[in-house]
Amino acid sequence: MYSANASPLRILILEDDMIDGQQIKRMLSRSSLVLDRIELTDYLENGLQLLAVQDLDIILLDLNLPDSNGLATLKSIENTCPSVAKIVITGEGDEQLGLQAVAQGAQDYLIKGGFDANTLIRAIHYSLERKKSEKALRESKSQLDAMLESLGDPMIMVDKALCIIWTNEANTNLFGDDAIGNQCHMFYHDEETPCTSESSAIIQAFQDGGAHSCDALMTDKNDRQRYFHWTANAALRDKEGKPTTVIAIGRDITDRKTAEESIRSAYNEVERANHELKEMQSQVVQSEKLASIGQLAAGVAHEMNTPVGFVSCNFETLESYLKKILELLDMYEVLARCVEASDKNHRLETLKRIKEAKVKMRFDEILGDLQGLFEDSREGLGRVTSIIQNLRDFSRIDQACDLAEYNLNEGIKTTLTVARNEVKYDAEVKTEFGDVPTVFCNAGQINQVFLNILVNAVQAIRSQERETPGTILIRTYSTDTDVVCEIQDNGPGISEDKLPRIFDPFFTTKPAGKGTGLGLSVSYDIIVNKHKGQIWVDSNSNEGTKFTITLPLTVAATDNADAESIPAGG
Amino acid sequence: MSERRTVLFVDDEVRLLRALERGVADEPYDKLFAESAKEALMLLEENDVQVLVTDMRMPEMSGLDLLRIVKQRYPNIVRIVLSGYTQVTTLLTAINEGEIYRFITKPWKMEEDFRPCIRQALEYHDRQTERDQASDALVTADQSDNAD
Repeated sequence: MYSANASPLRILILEDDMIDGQQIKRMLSRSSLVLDRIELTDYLENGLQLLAVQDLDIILLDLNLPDSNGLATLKSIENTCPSVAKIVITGEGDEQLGLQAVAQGAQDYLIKGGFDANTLIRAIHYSLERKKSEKALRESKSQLDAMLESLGDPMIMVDKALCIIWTNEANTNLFGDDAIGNQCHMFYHDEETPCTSESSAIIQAFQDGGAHSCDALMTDKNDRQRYFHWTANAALRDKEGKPTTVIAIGRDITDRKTAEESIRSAYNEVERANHELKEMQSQVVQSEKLASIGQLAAGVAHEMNTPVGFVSCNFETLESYLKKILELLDMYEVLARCVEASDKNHRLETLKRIKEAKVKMRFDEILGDLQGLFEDSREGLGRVTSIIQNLRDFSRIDQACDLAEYNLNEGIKTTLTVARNEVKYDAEVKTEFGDVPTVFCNAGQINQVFLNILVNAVQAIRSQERETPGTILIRTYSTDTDVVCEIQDNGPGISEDKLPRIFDPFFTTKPAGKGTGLGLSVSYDIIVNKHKGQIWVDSNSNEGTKFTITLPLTVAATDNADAESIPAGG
Repeated sequence: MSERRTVLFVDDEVRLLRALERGVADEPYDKLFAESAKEALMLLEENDVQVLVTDMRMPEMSGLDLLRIVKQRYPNIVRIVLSGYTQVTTLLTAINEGEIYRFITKPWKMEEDFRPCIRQALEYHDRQTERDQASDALVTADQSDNAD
């Protein structure tokens, strides 16, 4: 049954044959249909007038009327009231016409004289229902259309041949109205060949039926370059589930891309600056190293000058000794010949000359001195050898790789020897070496730190121009986790306002040209960054300064790639 | 001059002093050796010294301080520095404040530099003394002339 809650029907019968019209009217009146009213008229003109003033539900329409014929009649009615259901009544043998009418807006057709009341009622029910679903369909389509059109993003539908079969308003506004029928690569990119499957989300969606996306730089109809992020997905599929059409929607990401570009270029700028900074830092470290080597060189040169001085002096003396000894030997030669020739007179004379020569050259003194000369010289050469050895240990120039077992106490001893000349005139160094395990580190770098701190301490003490030498106490010990070294001096100390800045690069308290201001900053880098240790300072004005350095037992020194490392096996 | 002359060598390194002693053993002057500036000053009080050869950097009292004192107390002693320090500042201070006659660098050549240098220093000392005496004589002569 037609829905029970439907309101009573309003029906118009447009029929030029009044007998047929009355018969239909009768059929309706006698039916179970709930009726409001039935209008019957024979001219199209009259029917249209009626439709203009009355709301009707259904029209039973004979196509051949006195003032209109065939499908034109339906068209007139359809134009006037598209929302009213229509059933066309055609003459016998005119079924073809009925079908055409259905294609052009009628909901059903009946053959004149060939239907009874039941057929009529069924046709009415069917037509009303069909009209209702058509209306619902049209509404949802217009909703959908409105939705798609209101969408600001361009949207297209593409068939298997990559031809655009549908676009929305936004696409037309952006890219022009000649999309339909064009292949998408032609329409968007002016390219004869399709995009590659890697670059096109549409082609990817055709290939596997899934959703894909891609970014593309496109030129709009105003020749502006815009970036679009396209998302493509299968719309319709064939029986095997393969996509036959793909729908793609593009989002304008030009602003985002521009922002990304500027971020990227800013990032590159930062990268470059960072790189430059690193290079500069390594130059700074290098120049600090050169500065401390230069400082050392003067001290070491003096340290060598003294032993080399007296050894070379002794060497010259030895040469003169030897000359005298050879002279004497010549005389003994003469004496030997006299003995051989039993020339007694000559022999006595020669002996006398030898005796005189011995006295003159102070031969006994020479003999007595020889041993001392050799002892002194040996000691001097030993001292030079040890200085060279210590310099080598200090910088570990013969060490193949950066990290090696390092004994804190040995490192400090080496550093003290190297710095001896810098220290000995101003300060007395006391050491309290604890029993410390070896750690893995770069000995050259760690020794450089000790040297920096030691030389700072000595210079601080020297700056006081005191009567008695200062004292530097070096203490080592180990904890569960670290080996520790304390270097304490009784110099002038560091004032409170300078204390927070001492590890800053280029901060120096020394007169211009004397300090690089990098010693402690480089020391900090070596201990904290390169060896994961700690370095800190305790100081009170006029009470001296204490530096404490810790190196972890389980040292995993990193970042040594920065520090002119020699590749293993290289 | 027939009277005996004496040269005083000062260095905190005893082996260096012994090397010098060997090197100048045959030289025609008396030699004194001191291991510190203080010891040098003591020896100067007891001996008549014409030439002083000293190291610059020594513990307690530096060579420069010794030179200053000697210049003041014994201006006639010819002063020579024997040092490994050749930095310009060290040289300038020694020349300007110590008014030294020569600066010999360590290591040195005994035959070529060191011994000739000391001999020249002694001659220089003698000439200075002669000149002073001549000038004294002149002054005395002047005074006696005036007294007449």
